[in-house]
Amino acid sequence: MSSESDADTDSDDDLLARVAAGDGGAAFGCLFRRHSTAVYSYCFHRLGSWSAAEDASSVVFLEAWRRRADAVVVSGSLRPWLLGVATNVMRNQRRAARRYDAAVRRLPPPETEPDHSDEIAGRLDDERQMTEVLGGLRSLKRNELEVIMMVAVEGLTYAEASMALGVPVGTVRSRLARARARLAARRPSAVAAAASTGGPAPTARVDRAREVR
Amino acid sequence: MSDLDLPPIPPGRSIPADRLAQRQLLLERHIAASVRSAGKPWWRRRWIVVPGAVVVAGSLAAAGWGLLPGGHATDATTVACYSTVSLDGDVDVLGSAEVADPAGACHEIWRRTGTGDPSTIGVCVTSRGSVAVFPSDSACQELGLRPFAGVSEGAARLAAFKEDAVEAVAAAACRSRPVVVALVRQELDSHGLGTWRIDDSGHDQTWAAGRPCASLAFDDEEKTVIVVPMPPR
Repeated sequence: MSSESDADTDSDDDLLARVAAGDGGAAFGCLFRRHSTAVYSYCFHRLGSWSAAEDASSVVFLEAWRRRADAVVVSGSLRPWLLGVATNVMRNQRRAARRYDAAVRRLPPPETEPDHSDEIAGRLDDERQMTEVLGGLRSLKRNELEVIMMVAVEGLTYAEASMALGVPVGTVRSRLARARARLAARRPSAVAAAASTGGPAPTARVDRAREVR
Repeated sequence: MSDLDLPPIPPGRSIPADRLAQRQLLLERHIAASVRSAGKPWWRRRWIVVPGAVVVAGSLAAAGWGLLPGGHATDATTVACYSTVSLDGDVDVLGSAEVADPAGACHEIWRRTGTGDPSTIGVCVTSRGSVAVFPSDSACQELGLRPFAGVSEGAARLAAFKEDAVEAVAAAACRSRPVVVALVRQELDSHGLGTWRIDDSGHDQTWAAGRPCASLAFDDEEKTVIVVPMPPR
């Protein structure tokens, strides 16, 4: 049996195999540590709130555990599949909250709040900025927004997004094309939103080259 | 085709380390609880296999011989709205409140999400007894599923119990262990589920002293409510 430190170097495939073999807690805990930042960031980009994203991340991994038999590793990583699980959790937050109930998602506050004022200020800035971005994307249909987030923001390939969303690659392409057309029609407001948020954050960009990654 | 430029997106961050550790512990505790409750002797597992085979045979027969008679959902906790006539397609899963009008609920979600506005809808019962809605009135026949004819009385009671118990515990998650157990017992009794068991053993996970926090998990097969202690502060 692998130790915890071994688990940190095991591949996602190996960890899933250990989960299937009954070594659930430790192996799945390692997958949680490894992918929590990706899931947490994706949830934030969808919800615009770090605290809501933290709760949602917990639910995503609880849901991933429940659906572990369906887990798929793509190019050595469970990340695309986890983002697919996260997408379903976002779609059905009320149901997910019911399944795992509010107590599971809401941890008691830490006994002492460390004073990281820069960190807190940064997170508040993120939330303001993300609220603006999501406002600018409000014209998109939900399935178009999901594709944009997966491909343009989280950097999944078309094939990975296709697997994560459970739709053919052609559907990913067509949803992106529709989203692109819709956003182009609203370009002035998108630019205005960008200008109002400012800052050095990276500009998300999707182009056709990603199709062949 | 031109590139797509989005406004600046805030970069990703990590969950703060102390909370990450708490979340991981909580996750591992739930896993431990679910693994323990899933460990059943072989004679119990066989009961799962046999009805499964019957359902598969029934579905195959239905596919070849036409529409099955209507069936009652034995799982009233969710309504699944499928965007195509396939159990592998895009799906929105709604809560138990929507079981009263699955077609209307799915119509509304499809309209809101831009999935489409189908002229006909099929409401079926899956092999696991839950409600599935498809954008075609021939979906049940095509997929070999029973058309939905309502919710079984037991399923409705169980769904109502889960809603109420979760609501009651979530209202103030940190209470003494006997209080949480008494609360759950009261909900079980008031929903006519007196034969259900409450497992508050914590599965080797220690309860915090004073006002411990807990959440609920449900094992329908074992008719057990598992009270899962949350990590101490």
